[in-house]
Amino acid sequence: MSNMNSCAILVQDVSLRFNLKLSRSKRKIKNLFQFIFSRILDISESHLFEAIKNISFSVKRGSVIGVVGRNGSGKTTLARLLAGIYTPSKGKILINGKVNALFSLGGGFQHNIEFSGRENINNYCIYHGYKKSEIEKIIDDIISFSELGDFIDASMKTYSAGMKGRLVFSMAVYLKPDIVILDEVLSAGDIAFQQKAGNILEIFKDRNATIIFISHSIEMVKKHCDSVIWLDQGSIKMYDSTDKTLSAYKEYIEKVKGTVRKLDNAG
Amino acid sequence: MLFKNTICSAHKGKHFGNFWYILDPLFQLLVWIFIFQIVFKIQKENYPIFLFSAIICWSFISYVWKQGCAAITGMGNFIYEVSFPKMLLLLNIVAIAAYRMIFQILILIIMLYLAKVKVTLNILYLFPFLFILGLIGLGGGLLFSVFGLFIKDLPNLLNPLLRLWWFLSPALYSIDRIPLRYRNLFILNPMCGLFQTFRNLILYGKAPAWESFVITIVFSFFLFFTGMVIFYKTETDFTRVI
Repeated sequence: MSNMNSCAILVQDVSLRFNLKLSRSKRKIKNLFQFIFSRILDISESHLFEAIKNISFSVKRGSVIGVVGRNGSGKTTLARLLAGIYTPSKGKILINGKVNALFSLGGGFQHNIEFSGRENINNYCIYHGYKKSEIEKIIDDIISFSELGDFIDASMKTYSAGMKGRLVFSMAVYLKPDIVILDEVLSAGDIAFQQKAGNILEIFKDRNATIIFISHSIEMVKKHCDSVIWLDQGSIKMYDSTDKTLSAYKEYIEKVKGTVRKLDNAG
Repeated sequence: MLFKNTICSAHKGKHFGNFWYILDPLFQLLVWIFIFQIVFKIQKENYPIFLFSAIICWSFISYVWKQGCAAITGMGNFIYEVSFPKMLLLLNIVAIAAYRMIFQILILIIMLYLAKVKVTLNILYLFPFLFILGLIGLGGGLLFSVFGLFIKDLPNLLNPLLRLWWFLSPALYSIDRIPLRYRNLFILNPMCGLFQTFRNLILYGKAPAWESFVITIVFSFFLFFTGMVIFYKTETDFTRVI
């Protein structure tokens, strides 16, 4: 039982499968029936793509875990699984605490891109279950922290990628989650933003929040994380201390560079 | 907490004038009155109120059902950003539909006042009536939102079907016009009990038309139950089929 309290995230034998042919399927009504009466997505069929292949790991509360891997290895999928956006085809995910997941460029705002930054903060909080009184208390802090100035009341259509990132990030600070998942949110920011982000991460650490930090930047991961998960094609290739995992990953990256160079030269 | 969130979202959605909510049903009303009372010269006491009461109920149901089809698919990428109870999307639609209905009911009240209709204690039945109406709306909405995931032009399919259902219900005409030998079959239409009861309560000051309303009640519970079960059973997989 004491184990559960110190554990923020527990992933047990989790797999996630997608049916790639579903959107192109012609037998829509049949699919609908299968969807309702059985788990269509998990029937053994040839066009099932297994995005996450039977992974298990645990994360202690207060730790900062980096996640690295090539594009398509399942990092964002894992983030979504932890955030509750996907439900595993198999296995269990146990989360101890409130999760806030931030995805790069705050793409979710596409739905509300006509609205202003202020309105989007409001909506985001509402969907996360905050009451109006609670939102009123924190919204001014979020706005001043984002340093968006007058742009906060302008339509989000006018925002640059960095501005969207700042907005998303400021929300994370004030929503006080127990577990924060950052999916490449820091990449779209200039030096000033990155420094500020670093400060934010320190704030989270002081609060003993658990952080999952997904990034392509090895320097950032090295700087902030205690341990690192290396995801490769949906499986955990390595989950160890930052130094060990990153050096193994770096070796792998060099090999990949070498292969690409060879292919370029051959062509 | 859930309720407050819904109201907030509902208010966010409304960027157009409230005026439209009254305009469309009123326009329908005028057209039907013209056709039936002027062109066909049908005589019926208080026909405008008779008709408008059906329009209000039907407007609520068809709005929730049609909007429900695209409730989940219309979310776009937002559904991948935050994990939230998807039921909120449908409660949102019901809230907006109820909000529209309030304006329509205001007009109805004015009409009732002008016609000097007497209000009896039976009007208290309105509360359970609205509850049943809500069950029909929400149940269908939940069901169609799941269907809409796979059948992308579900609204196009629904439109002619709903039109047909409207004409097969005692909305434009009273059930008395149906020949006796078909009446039992006719009563099986849950909208029959719905319209009859609503009119009984607000226009004639009578109790609900139990004979037909019982069927409406059974239908509403069945639809709601089915919608809830299917919705909740498949909710966790929404993000994987969009």
